[in-house]
Amino acid sequence: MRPPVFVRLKVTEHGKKKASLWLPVFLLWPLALLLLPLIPLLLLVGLILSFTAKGRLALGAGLALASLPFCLSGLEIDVEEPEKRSKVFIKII
Amino acid sequence: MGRQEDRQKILQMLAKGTISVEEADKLLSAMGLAGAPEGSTENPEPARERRADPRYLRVQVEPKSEKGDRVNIRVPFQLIRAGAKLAAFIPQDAREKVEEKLEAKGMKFDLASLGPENLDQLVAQIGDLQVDVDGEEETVRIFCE
Repeated sequence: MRPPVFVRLKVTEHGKKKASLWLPVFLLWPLALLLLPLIPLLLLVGLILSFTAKGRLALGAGLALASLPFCLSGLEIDVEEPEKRSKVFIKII
Repeated sequence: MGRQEDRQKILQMLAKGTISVEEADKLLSAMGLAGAPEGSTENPEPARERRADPRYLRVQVEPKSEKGDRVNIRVPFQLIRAGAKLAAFIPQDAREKVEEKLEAKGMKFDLASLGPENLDQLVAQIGDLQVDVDGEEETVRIFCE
C-alpha cells in the first residue's frame, strides 16, 4: 500500500478537450511530516478514547478512514456519453 | 468421464443423501458445472485461467445504442477491503436500517459479521467471478483481474 502519486483527470465535452490534468498528489506527502510533532498528542488521545466503547469505535473508524487514501491507487473511472461525445476519465496512480 | 456424466453422478449422490446440498454445490462449482443464476447469462466458454490473487474488480457497461453511457470502472480490492472495514464501524441503529432495506430486497446480510478474515476468504475465492448480463439496452460485465 502506498499513497497516490498522481491523479490523471481528462474531461471531454462535445468532442472538445476541456481538461487534461496530471495532478501531482505526491507534493502533498511532505504535509504529513507536519503531523510528526503531533504523534505524542495523537497517541494520548487514542489512549483516552480506548477506555470507552464509543471511544474505541471512534478510534477504529478514525484509523480506518486514515488508511483509506493509501488504498486509492489503481482506481480508474471512465464514463463516456457517445451521443454527446463527452467523456470523464479519472485514474489514481 | 464427460461433464454431463460428472454432473449426473453428483446429483445422484445428492439424491441418495451421500453428500449434502452444500457439498454438491461445492463439487459442481469446483468442476465448473454450477448453473448460472437467474437473470444472468453465464459464459458458455470454459472458465478463464483463475488469477490466484486478483487485484482489481472491473465493471464494464457497454451500451447497445449511441444513447447509452459507456462505463468502465476498475476498483482495487484493497479499497473494497478498506470500505468493508469501515462498514464495521457503522452504528448499530444505522446498520439495522441498512440490513432491513437489504432484506426487503431479498438480501439477508449481517454487516457486523463481515470481518477482515471473511474479506480475505472472499477475495481469494472471487478470482473466478465473472458476470455477464446481456440486457436490452446494454451489456454489463463484472470480473476480476
